[in-house]
Amino acid sequence: MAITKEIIQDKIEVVGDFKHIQVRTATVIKEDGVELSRSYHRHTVAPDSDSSKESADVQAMVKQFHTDELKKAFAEYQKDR
Amino acid sequence: MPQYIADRGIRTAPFHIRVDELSTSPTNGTPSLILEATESGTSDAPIMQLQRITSSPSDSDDLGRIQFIGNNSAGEDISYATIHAESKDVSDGTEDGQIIFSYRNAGSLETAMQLGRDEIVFNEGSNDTNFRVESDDQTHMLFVDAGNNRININSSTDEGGIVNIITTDNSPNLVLACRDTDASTGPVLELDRDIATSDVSAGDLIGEIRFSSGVNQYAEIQTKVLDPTVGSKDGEMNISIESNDTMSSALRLGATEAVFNDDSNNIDFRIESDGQANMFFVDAANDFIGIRRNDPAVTLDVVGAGRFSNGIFFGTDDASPSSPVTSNKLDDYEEGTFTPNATFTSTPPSNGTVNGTGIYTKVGRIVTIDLNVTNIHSTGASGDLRINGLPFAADLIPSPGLYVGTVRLSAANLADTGDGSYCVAEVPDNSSYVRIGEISDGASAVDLINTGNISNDVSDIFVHLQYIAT
Repeated sequence: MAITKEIIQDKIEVVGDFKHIQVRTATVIKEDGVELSRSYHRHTVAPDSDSSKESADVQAMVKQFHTDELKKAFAEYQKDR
Repeated sequence: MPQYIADRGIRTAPFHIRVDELSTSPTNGTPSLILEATESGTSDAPIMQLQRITSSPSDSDDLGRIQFIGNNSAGEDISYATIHAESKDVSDGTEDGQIIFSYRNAGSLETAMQLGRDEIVFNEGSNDTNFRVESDDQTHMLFVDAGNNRININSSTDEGGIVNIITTDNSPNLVLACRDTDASTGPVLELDRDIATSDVSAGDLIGEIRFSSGVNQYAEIQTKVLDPTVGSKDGEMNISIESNDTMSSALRLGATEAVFNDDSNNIDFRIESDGQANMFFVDAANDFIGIRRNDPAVTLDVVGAGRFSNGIFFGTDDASPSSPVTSNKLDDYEEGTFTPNATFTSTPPSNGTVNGTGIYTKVGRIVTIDLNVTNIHSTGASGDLRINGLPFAADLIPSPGLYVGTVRLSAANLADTGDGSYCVAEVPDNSSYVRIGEISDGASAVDLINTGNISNDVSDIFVHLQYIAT
C-alpha cells in the first residue's frame, strides 16, 4: 500500500479585460495509484503582481499576456477605482 | 436336400421351375432355388446374373425385372411387387444405371424407391405412403408423414410444422455444430424470406421465432423490412413478450433507434452493474428514473454523485444547451483555499508582507470568500491596505464597480468621527484584491484604510465577501 501526494497546477486560465491569470493548484492524494482525495488552492496573478515565484507555465503566460501596455491600462483602471 | 430340375411341369416360360412337382411333400419356407458356390476365395460367389444382350443398347432400356406374383381373389396372377433395373446412360465409359423397387397399391403398381445416379427417391409416385426410420430406441426417429406433408423427427405426431423435432427430455432439440477452424462465422442459422427483391415492401415481416407452451404463446422475436431500397436498406428486430395476456413489444431494435417498451406498458427497465442491482432503473408505472435505486420518487432520483461537465439547466430555457452563457445554467462548483497577502499600494512593508488564510466556494459564477490576515506588518509601508491573492478575478459590475462585504478590523486606528462609522470590505471589479474602507455616518465618500490605520504586527483583518467571477 503506497500513499502518494501530488501537487499539480491543473488549471491555468486567462480571464477578463486585464488578463488576470487564475491558477488552480490541486493536491492529489493517491493510494496505490487510486485517487483518494483532491483539494484545491487558488491564486490570481494580476497584471501588477510579482510573478517571479510563479511556475514556468504561468510565467510564460505572464510574458505573453501581461504586456507593458496592459499593465499601464490596468494601473489607470485602478486609479479610477 | 434341394432338388435341381429344369423345364418340367407346365411351361409358361423358356425356363420354368415348378417347385411342388419336385417333392412329394413340399414344405412352406423351403427354398425353391438355391445358387450355391463352394469356391473358398474372397470373390463374389455365387452370382445371379440377369443379362440383356442387344446389339442396339439405348438409354432407359429395361434390363430385367424380378416379379413377386401371387393370385388375387379372382384367381388371377398378380405382380404384388417388383424390382427392376434400367440403363439410364449407355455411353461407353460414362454408363449410368437405375434400380426401382415397386409395390402394388390399390391395384396399381407404384414406385416405392428408385435408386439412381442423380438421386435416390422414395415414393416417386406421390402416394400417401409414409417413410419411417427406426433408431435403436425410437420407432419414428425419422418419419415423413406423406399424408400431412410433414417431416417428424422422433415422433409420429404432427406438431404443426413442416419439420417437427420432438424430445421427451431436456436434451437440445436442435444443435447446429460447425467444425470449420477458420475465423469466419459458423454455424449459421438463416431465416430467408425467399422472394424476389421486387416483391419486398417496407413493413414486410420476414421471420419470426415463437416461444410457446402448448397453444399458449409467451414470447416472440420478429423481424421486419423497414426500407427495401438497395443501397439504403433498413431492418428491424422486435422482441415481444406476453404482458397481461397481450403480446407487447419489449425491445425494438431499428435502424435509427432502439426502443424498450415501445407499447408503453408497465414494464420496468433495469440495468445491473457489477455491484449494483439497480444501476439504472426506469419505473414505467410512475415515469421515474432511478440511478442506483429501484424506488425513484422524482423524475431523476440518484443515489451517489453526478458529474455534469457542461452544467445543469434549471427551469425552462429556450437557449440551446450548448450555449456558453445562459441565465439559468449552473455549470460550476468548486471549493478550496487561497492565501491572502496583506500589503500596501505605494510601498510594501519593510519587514515583509504577511500571508493569511482564506477559503472559497464558487457556485456558478458566485464566489464566496472568507479570509483572515493577522498581525499585519506596516513598518516602512505607505499607501492603502490591499489584500492580494484572491482565488478568482472579479467580473465587471455596474458603477461604482465594487463588490462589498463585511469586515472585522481589530486593533486598527480608525478615524471614528464621533458620529459613528463603519468599515466595509471591497473588491473592485476587474481585480483580484480586497481593500478596506471606512465610512463615516452620513458620508458618501469612503476613506480607504492605509498605513495610518494599521498598528504594525498588531492589526488583524477578517473578511467575508461575495463577488462574481469573470
